[in-house]
Amino acid sequence: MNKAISTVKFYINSVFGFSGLVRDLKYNKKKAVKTLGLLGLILYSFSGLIAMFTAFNLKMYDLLKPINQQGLVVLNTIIISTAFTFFIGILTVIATYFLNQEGDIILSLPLKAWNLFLAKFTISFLSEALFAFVIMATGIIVYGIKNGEGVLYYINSLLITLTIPIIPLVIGYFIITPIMKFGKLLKKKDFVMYISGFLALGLGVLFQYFTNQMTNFDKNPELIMQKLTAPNGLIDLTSKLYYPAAIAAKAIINNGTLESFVYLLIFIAIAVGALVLLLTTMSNIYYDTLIGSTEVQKNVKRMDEKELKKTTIKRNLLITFIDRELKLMNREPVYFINGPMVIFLLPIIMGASLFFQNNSILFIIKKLMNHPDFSYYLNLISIGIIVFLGASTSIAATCISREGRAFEFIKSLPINPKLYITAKIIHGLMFGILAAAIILIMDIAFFKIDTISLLIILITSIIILTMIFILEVFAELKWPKLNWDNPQKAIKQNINGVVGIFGTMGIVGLFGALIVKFNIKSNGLLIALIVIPLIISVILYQKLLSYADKRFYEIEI
Amino acid sequence: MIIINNVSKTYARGRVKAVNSINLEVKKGEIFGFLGPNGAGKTTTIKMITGILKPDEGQIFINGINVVSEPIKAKKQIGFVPDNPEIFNRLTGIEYLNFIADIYEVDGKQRYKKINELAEIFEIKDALNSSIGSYSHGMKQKLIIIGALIHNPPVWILDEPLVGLDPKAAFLLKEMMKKHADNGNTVFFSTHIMEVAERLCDRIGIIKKGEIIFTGTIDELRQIREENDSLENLFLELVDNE
Repeated sequence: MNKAISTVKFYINSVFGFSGLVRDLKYNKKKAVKTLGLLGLILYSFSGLIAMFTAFNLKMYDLLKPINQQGLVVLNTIIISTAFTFFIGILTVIATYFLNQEGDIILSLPLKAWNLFLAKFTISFLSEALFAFVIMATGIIVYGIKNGEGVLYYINSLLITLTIPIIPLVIGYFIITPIMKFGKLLKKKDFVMYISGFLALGLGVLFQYFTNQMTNFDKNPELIMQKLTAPNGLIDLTSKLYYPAAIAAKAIINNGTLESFVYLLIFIAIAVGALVLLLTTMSNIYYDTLIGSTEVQKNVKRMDEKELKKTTIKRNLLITFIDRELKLMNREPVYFINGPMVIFLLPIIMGASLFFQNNSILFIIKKLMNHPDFSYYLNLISIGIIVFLGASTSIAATCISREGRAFEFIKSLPINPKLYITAKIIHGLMFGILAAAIILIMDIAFFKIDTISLLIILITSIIILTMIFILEVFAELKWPKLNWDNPQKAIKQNINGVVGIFGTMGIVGLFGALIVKFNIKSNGLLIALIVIPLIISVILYQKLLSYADKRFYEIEI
Repeated sequence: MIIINNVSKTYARGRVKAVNSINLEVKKGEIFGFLGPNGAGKTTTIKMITGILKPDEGQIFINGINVVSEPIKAKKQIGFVPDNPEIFNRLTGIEYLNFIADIYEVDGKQRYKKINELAEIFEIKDALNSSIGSYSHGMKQKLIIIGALIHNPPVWILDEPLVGLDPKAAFLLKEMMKKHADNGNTVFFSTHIMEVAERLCDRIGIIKKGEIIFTGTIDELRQIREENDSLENLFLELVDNE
């Protein structure tokens, strides 16, 4: 058991770096502030979700109170939290399935398969517990305050909240582990990683369906409430399908009674039982998938003389750099799934959103199409979406960090920093253009957009993206995250990447809000959106080149 | 030719002095072995010569070109084999070599000749189409060596080059180093294997705690120590006593 606990501790420290943070708080306050800032930013990104769930729970409570069914708020929160941790959990399970410290050293240690599996499970559990905590808080606090609950209620709720992610994650591992085993049999680990990414995409669409149900709540609360609370309604049906949710709700609502205590114990026992079942049945399969996980399949196709001669040709240096950028990004599943794939993923989720709301949003869109200023607003919305999609790939925002320790080797080569940086911006813009193409095709298909609008959207969004990418490269040059042991850290735990996405989201949102608030309807705005970012981009690009020329040689790992 | 003038380097905001005012000159046509215990400052010195790290003080010249003020020009003179060959695992061997050849502006004909010749010698020609991630440590090392030689560099710098190489490849590498120096080029390498340094080097430099405690031929070292011992024993005594 001691070995299992040590392994769990080791995994937690190496993935989350808690001990590193404690050390930084003592000796490197600047770094600690950066880490805490990143955490704050991630928490802030939940704010929209928190507001949405809280508003939903407040309304639900007020509607259910007269019929003395307000306890359903708690049950519903438990169900949503479980569903959420399941959907997000699948992504976490995939993302953390292969970690670098599981190289040959960990596998050579005298550890049992379940020790490693438990450690890996704990990693996923900790991230999911955070999600569960945020979602549960929205329902628990609303119910707790409105119902005047005591301390025991909150203690029970906390225990239940911490237990909630266990069962969804157990199910997640029961699904993903055999898929990984299958991937190993096929000897195509990368392929399985891509497939898992698409599976996550499917789950994203499904999740979109659920959240849409919630946003529809505003339009007809009574009808939705009826759908949710009626016998055999959504809550009833879900709690029948997933009975532990009903047990957990009883443990919270009836707090202070023996019955509640028994339910609490039963819920924890079910979760622990599920975990034990997972560890006893799946540990060996999991361990087997780890063995040889660092092996890469060799291409057995040999190169003949003719082929070798054909490939060994001198190319333009800029093309060489862009080609390297594309290959390194697209061939690393972690980078591709969190980067360029977002361009395909987000439009599909948005499309699904339109599909599920066919009665509401499509109707509004059809109505808007007859509006005289429709084309103006469509241009602006399309530009906003393209800019957001382009920035969501994190290509420019993580461009130096992705090099990792190989940046030292890059520095040993006679590379012109200006060319090196320009290639990175072009790499980002290539996917920006791809995002533009996808959105413009949608615009043509749904709204029969004219050629002039098409050109305006394309030019404006690419110029704005250029400006954003230049700023992101500035940040990467200034604060690159090169010391990592897992590519996840370069892209997902990189403050530049997070700021790049949320910063762009914030700017697009702010512009949208200003345009709506002040009812700005002028083609002058479109001209300004081209001219201002263009001037800024030209000035910033010159500054970036001279900064890169100096900074490139100063970066040390 | 490599000239190092009063070069110092500190880490952790000046708290750790990795290299302290070192001076060194490595001539054309010379094989120079850089020896020292772990953490003595060998890799830091090599990183400064290759432009990876910037010296806090002093200057480094490669064939008369200052590495800090004219980095691109200076680096064109160098072929570098780092101590860790874990780089660009997602590229194939041939993609890597073409990338390096493009950087050094090697024309198609010369790069084909060099890749063909060296990949044949190191027996990795069949693997050039596979991703570097699928290579063994030794194969990666061989690939990096080919990349470092693709532009026939006047200065060849190798950090622990023999680690991971099989006996045949190690032998071949040593022969290549000799040949490269015989052609009037400079070869600078770090190693922990004293026999290799003894057999291969024209001169050696020994670094300890960031300071160079000896430069010269092995015979000169024997004269100073007044002992006719192996380099291994001389090295151990020198490092322990100094």
